[in-house]
Amino acid sequence: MTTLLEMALRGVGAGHLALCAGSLFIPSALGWKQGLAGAPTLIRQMFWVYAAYVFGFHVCFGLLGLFGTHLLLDGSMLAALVCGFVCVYWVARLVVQFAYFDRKSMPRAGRYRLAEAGLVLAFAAFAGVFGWACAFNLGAA
Amino acid sequence: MATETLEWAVRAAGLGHFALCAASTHIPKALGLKRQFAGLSPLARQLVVMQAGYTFALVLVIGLLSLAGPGLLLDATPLAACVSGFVFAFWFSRAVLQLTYVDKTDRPPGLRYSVAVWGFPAMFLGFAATFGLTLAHNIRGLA
Repeated sequence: MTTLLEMALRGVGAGHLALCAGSLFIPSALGWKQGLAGAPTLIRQMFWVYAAYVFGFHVCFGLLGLFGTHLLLDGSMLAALVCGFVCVYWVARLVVQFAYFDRKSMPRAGRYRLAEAGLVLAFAAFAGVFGWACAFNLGAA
Repeated sequence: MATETLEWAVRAAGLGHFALCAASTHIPKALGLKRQFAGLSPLARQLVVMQAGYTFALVLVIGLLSLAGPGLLLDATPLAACVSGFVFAFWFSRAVLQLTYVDKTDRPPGLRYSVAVWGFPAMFLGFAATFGLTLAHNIRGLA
C-alpha cells in the first residue's frame, strides 16, 4: 500500500513539474499580455507577482512530491498538514475552474478544450493523491 | 537562539500573519482596485482575484501553523526544514519585490499609507528573519 502511495506521490510530483512546464505557454495561448494592456501599472505588477508565486508553489509541491516522498509519508502531524493543505489547494482550484471562471471568454478551439480536460484531470489527481497521503499520515499519527 | 525563545518568535510571527491578513482586507478599497480592475478582461480579472485568494489563504495557513504548532516547525526533521525554508523564501522574495519591483507612485496620500509603504516590507523582513532562524535551527538539528 505504502509503495503504491509512494509511486502515486512521485507521479503527481512529476505531474506538477509538467504542469509548470505547460504553464509557460499559457500567457501567450490565452493572450494575457493583451488582456492586461489596459490595466494600470500596479495591477499589472500584482498580476505577475501573484502568477509567479502560484508558479513557485507548484514547483515546490512538485519537488517535494518527487524527491521528498518519504518526508510526506513519515506519519507525522506536519506531513499530514502539508498533504492536507496541498489536497485542499487543488480541490479549491477545481471549484474555481467550474464555479468562478468566465467560461464564455475561454478559447473554444478543440485543442484548448482538450487542454482544459487534461488540466482538470491533473488537478483531480493531485487532490486525490495528496488527500490519500493526508489520510495515511493521520492514520499513522 | 534557544528553542523556547524561537517558539515564541514563531508564535509572534503567526500573530503577525493574522494582522497582515486583517490589514490586507482593507487594501482593495484603499487602492481603489475595483476601479483599476475595470481595464482588465474578465478572465484576467478572475485570474488576479484567484491568485490573490490563494496567496491570502497561504498567509492565513502559515499564521495558523505558526501560532498553533510552532513545535512542528522546530522539531529538526527534514520536512520541518523544508516548510520553514519555503516560508523563509516566500517572505524574503516578497520583501525584495515590494522594495524593488512594486510601483508605489500611485499610493493614496496620507500618513497611514506612507506608514504602510514601509510597514509592510518591514513585516515581510521580520517574517523572513524568524523563519530563516527556524530553518537554521532545523538544519543545525539535522547535522
